[in-house]
Formats: sequence, C-alpha cells, structure tokens
Amino acid sequence: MHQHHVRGDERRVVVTGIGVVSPYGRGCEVYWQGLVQGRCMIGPLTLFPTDGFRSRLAGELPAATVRALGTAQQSRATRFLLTAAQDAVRNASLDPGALTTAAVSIGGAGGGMLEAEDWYWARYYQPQGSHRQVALRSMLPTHQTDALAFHLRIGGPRESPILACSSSAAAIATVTDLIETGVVDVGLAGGVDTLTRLCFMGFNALKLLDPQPCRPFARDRRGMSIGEGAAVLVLESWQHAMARGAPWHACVAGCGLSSDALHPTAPPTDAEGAVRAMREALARAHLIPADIRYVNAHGTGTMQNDRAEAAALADVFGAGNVLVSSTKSLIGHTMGAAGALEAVATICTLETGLLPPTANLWEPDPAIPFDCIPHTARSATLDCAMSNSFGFGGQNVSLIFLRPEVLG
Amino acid sequence: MVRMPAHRAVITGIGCISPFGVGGYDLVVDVLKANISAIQPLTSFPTTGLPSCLGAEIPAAYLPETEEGRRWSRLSQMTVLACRQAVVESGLCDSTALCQAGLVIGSQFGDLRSTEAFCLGFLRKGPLGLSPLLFPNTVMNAMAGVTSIALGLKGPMLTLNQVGVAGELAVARALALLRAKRASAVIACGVDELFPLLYETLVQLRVPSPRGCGEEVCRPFDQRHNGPILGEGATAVVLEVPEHAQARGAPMLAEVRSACWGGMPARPGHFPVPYQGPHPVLDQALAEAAVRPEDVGMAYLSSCGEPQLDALELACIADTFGPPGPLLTSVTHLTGEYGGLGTFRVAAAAATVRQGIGPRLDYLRQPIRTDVRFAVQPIAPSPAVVLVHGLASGGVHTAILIGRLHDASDVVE
Repeated sequence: MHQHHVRGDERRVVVTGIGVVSPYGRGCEVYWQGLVQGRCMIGPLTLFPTDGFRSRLAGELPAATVRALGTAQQSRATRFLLTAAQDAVRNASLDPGALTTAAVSIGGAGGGMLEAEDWYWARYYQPQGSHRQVALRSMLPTHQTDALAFHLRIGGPRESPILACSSSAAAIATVTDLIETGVVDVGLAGGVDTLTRLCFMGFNALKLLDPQPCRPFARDRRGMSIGEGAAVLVLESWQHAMARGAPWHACVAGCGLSSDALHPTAPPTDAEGAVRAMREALARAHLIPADIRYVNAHGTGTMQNDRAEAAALADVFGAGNVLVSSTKSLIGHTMGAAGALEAVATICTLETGLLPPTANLWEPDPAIPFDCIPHTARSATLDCAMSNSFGFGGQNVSLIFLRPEVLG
Repeated sequence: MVRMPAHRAVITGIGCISPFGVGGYDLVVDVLKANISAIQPLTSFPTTGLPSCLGAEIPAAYLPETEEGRRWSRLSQMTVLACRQAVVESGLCDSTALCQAGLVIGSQFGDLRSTEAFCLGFLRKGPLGLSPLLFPNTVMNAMAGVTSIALGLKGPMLTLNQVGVAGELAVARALALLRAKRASAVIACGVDELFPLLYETLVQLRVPSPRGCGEEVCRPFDQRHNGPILGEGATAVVLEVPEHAQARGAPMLAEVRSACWGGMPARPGHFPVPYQGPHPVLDQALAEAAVRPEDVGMAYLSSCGEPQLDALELACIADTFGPPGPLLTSVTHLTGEYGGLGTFRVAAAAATVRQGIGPRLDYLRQPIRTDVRFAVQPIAPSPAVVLVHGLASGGVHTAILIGRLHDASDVVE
C-alpha cells in the first residue's frame, strides 16, 4: 500500500458507531449477515397499491419490524432514523454529553412524504372531509433531522443535505469536513428514506424499475428496485476517540464530491464527474488507485448507470483492477439512505474480510470489465475500500474507508 | 494587499429575483433605500374563503419565456436567474474557475408545485397520467442540478433542506466548503416560492398573519405582531477565498468574517421555548471573526412577526450583546417571509457595511422589548460589522458576521 496515508493525524476522522435499519430488520449485524449470505429482500411491495405499474417490487421492511420501532405517532422515516441513530450512539459508547456540541447531518430525499401522500390522497378523494394536516409537519426531510437532534439533544451544526441518491454519502463527507477543519470533534452522519408513492411512481414513469428483482451489472438487466432503510454513523476526530479510549470500525480516509453539469437524470457516458469524485477521494486520502481493491458500487441496475460507472471505474483503476459489487441487488435502492447503508457495508467489508456479493447476476454484462462478485460473498483482506454514490442532478460522491489496523 | 484568516471569504457577486425585480447588488441597495413593502393582495391565485390574502409575489413578467426556461420548473428558473446574475456580477462567468465552483442551495419547501402536479397526473389518469419530465423536479436537489447545467458548475453541489433559515445555512455551508478546500468559489442561494396548495395549507395551519386576530400585516418585534406574511424569491451570493478573488481581479463587496450554526433543543416544528439562555453559536461567530460584541453595529434578524420567534430572537441578542446592543432590523416586512430569505439578508448586510443603508422598521410603535435598539431611524454611522442572525422552528440557530473590506487590521501591505 502507498504509505502516505498511514499517519495518526489528530483531525483524521474515525467511525466509532454504526446503526442500521434495513429490509433485513434492525441492527448492523443483521444487515451484514443478510448481505454476505446473499439474501435478496426484494419482493412484492405491500405498503400501498401498485396496480397497473410495470414493476411492483421493493425492498420493504417487514410490518412487524416497523411496528417495533418508535411510536405510531412518528412518521415511518422518523422511526427508522431514531432507531438507527440510537443504536449508533450506543455502539459508540458515546456519552450523551458529547452530543451537546456534536454535528448532525442526515441525508434524505423523501422525508415524511409517505404520510403527506396519505393526506393528499385523502384530500383529493374527499375534498370536503377533515384531514389530518399534522402529517404535513413531518413531510420535509429536515423534520427527521430535527427530531433526531431533539431526541438526542444534539446541539452542534445541523443540516439535511438533499442530493437525491447520494444524499447520505454527502452527509458523511460534510461531517467529515467539519471534523477535519476543527469545527466539531463528534458528528452523526447518515441518511433515511422510506418507500413512497412518489418515488415508486416516478421511477416507474421513467421506466427505470425492473419488473423482477434488480440485476446490477447483468447483461439482461432492466432497471433498479427501490428499497427503504436508514443508517447512521458516529464520526469522531481520531484525537477525541483516542482520548476516551473508544475503538473504531474504520477511518474515513477521503471523500470526493463533484457534479456532472450535464443532464437532470442521466450520467455522461464516460462518467467524467464520477471520475473526478473518485480521484478527489483518492487524493484526499493520500492513496493511489492501486491501493483500492474493492469498490461498493452505486450499481443501480439500469443500463445507463451501470455502464457509465464501469467506464469511470475503468478510467480510475483500470479495467478489471478492482473487485466490485452492488448491495442494491440485495435490499433495493434506498435512495437518500443508500450512501450511508453502503458506507456501512464497505466498513463491514474491511472489518470482516468478506466482500458482499451482487445478487441475481447470472449473466455478467461483457461491457462491464470487472469481477462483480456474483451470488456468493468472497474472502479478501483489504486495507481500504471505496463506496460510490451518484444521484439525479449529476451529484457524485465517493468515500474511502481504511481498516482500523492500518492507523495502528 | 488584503490578508485575512483562512476561514474568511469575500462576497464577489449578488443575484436576486424578488417582487422588487431581477438584479444584483444595485437592486438590493434600491430595495433598502426605498424601504417600500412588496406585500400586496395575491393575484396569481385566488384566496377566496381564506382568512389570509396577502403575500409578496414575483410577477410572471420577471421570469422570461426563454426556450431553456420552458424546460425548467418555475423554482428552477428563479434559482438559475439569481445564480446567473451573481456569477455575472462577480465576473466569474469569464473565468475558467466557474466550472470548478461549488453550489449550495438552501430551500424550505423545494418544488412542491411540481410534486403536486406529478401526483395529480396519477390521481386523475392513473399510471398513464404520470409525467416522466416532472418527476426529477420532485426531488429537492432539482434546482441545484438545473443550475449546475445552466452555468456549467462542476464542483461540489449541495442542497440543504431547512425550515426558516435555509438561506443562512447555505451561506454557512458554502463557507465550510471553502474552509475544507473543496472549492475556491462557491455560490450560495436561498430560494422558495409561493403556490396555491402551500399557501392554503399554511393558512389552514394558522402559520401566517392574521391567525384569527386583528389586521393581516407583517410587524416583527411589535406587540401587534400576529404572524408573518408569506413571500417568495431567490438570492444568490458568490463567496470566494480572498486570494482567489484578488488573483482574478474580482469585485469584492464585503467579507464574510464567520458563519456558525448549531441547534437549540426544540421539538420539530416548535420553537425552543421557554428560552434557556445563551447558545454558543453567537459567541463562536464573534470569536471566529475576532470581533467584540460592541463592534457589531447592526443585526438583521430572521424575526418575521411570529410572536414566539420575535421574542426568542431578541432574547438571544440581548443575552449576547447586552444593552443597548446593535441596531436591530428585519426585511420580512418588505419581502415577505420564506425559508430561503437568509441569502437576501446576507446581501443586504453587504450593502449595509458598504453604504450605511438598511431597512427601517417604520411600523414599529409598541416594541416587545425596550432594552434593545431597533432601526427606526436612518442608520448612522455606517456599521463596519453586521450580524445576520437566524433562528428556526426545530431549533436551528445561525450567526453570520459580514464585515466591511479593508479594515485597518486587514490591510497588511
């Protein structure tokens, strides 16, 4: 490995806590076991009617799991987020007092839109009726962040970045910046999104949903599958974590952000913006491409996205020089939460030495010049790995994580 | 040569679309000098049967029917117009630096107009009624995406969703991007729009004036306050690292000396009441800017006539600055209130430090506090440092210090 990065920089950012809510249920271990076992959670969507649509599938949390999270008065998104955040803080063994100056950044896209849709649908069909406008209060993504800050008494910089599918990856990058520049010592970063009619209808209208569970990097792929979930990471300066004797899962080595400035929904065929994001992450991590051997891809399963991402990976790393997998094939595309959930998968990869597989990859696309780890998890001891997130509007975020042992 | 600490930035361009017109720094100056409210009975949609009928809306004529404009939503058009104007004013449009520039958009509601239109397509016609062209607008980063395409911005791009102080937050985050060396220039833009469903729903939730009592009017800090009047607009400011601006000979309007933000404990949708004492955000902003409380000559507050917010914000200011403190003002009686308004306040603060002008609170007869000073007279002398202060339901708290350029302490060569 290129040696420049192996240094105990006091402002270096480490991950000391992780919390996850996913279609597998509550908990990081449950999530990770589901991924490495290759259990695909994409099935019939039951949360709202899907009649007449091309695709009727999603990675949906079981109703029984949802009932056990939070209270019925809270929006589905709030319940997911508070659960993930509480678990992350507990996992970090963080004193609640440390949160009074901590930052919090929660990426999302839909916020509490599911409940707002209930209100709007009822209002449409019964214009004269009395409808619960209180549901509207949780509609905006910032509501979930505010609820989290209130619940955990978080008093530092607070923000709700919306970058479509790269929202929560950006949340991790921006909190990392706040720690590295000395604004805060501790921050919670992550994302949440639930299934909504809006998202389901929208991607159906764009004909970007596969009628079958999605097949990223497959020759016959026909689009993505949507999903839902939340993930929160506790980030700390290395110095802060050392001072309180906290173990860490990984180090956030570098984050890159870029824009395509090309098209509202489609990436450039050469994914030039994605290339810049990956190269910025490498530069900030003081790494060279050869240091990276695994990339948790954005890997949505659409024809255009997978091909563009493969082109970008080939440009940065060289064809075939990294192992690649898409965990979206297992839980669906969780939109604003995807970046954080995939960051967690990448960190777990470093911790366990297991690379999660790409499900449903029976016939790899020959235009994707990478080993995309079909069906079965694979062993590999890695020092560092990358996670990519790309969103509507041409928003690219790449994150690189280091194994704790590399820092010593 | 002007040398400033690394965490400072300079404002090199302003762009604005508002009920007062479309323009840059000069438009902001004109608005402050005229001190005339844009609040009027709404004309773009009916308010029949609603207890509120006022707003500060942008006439359709300000959004030209261009070919590119027709492809974008109204909110995206507003965002592009403001950002483009700011870029032109900064001279960044002629620079190769433009494609590396960052963009931060702050918005409270995003493009709910498109969201409603998209949903209505389904409700009226089923799946076949869904417009694939509308769907991307329903994601709140659509304005940023369209702006990056229109201006060719390829640097870091963030959209921040925030109640009340989305504009302030955009500026604070832009400064953080500069500080993290993610860009040398970042455009920060606050934007929100009025549209029928939103207006009707907020009125039914008793958000705007008159809330069932008295006259429908916007009177921040006055005992007769009974809620805000809703408005709309977009204001963009170009922030640059001073060395970057100097190197390309950019106009420098003012300096952002510090921008801090944090959160007071409050339930979502509620203000942090009762007031629980000073919050470190203001002290941090002063310390970071190396400014003493008595050096702050004026403060633009986010108070908009919402009684709890007015009281809370004055308590914050009084706690930090003591009597008599800076001259306090608001712009919401002129512009109406919207989540992205904070960038207009920052632009106004730049005009205040440059030209000693600011909005007067002519309506103020019975202030809710008498131990603070309000801007009821023309400003004199011209303040060297102006605070832009924001507080939102949910507890997000912002403090941005805008300074005049070329203070003696800055000019080192």
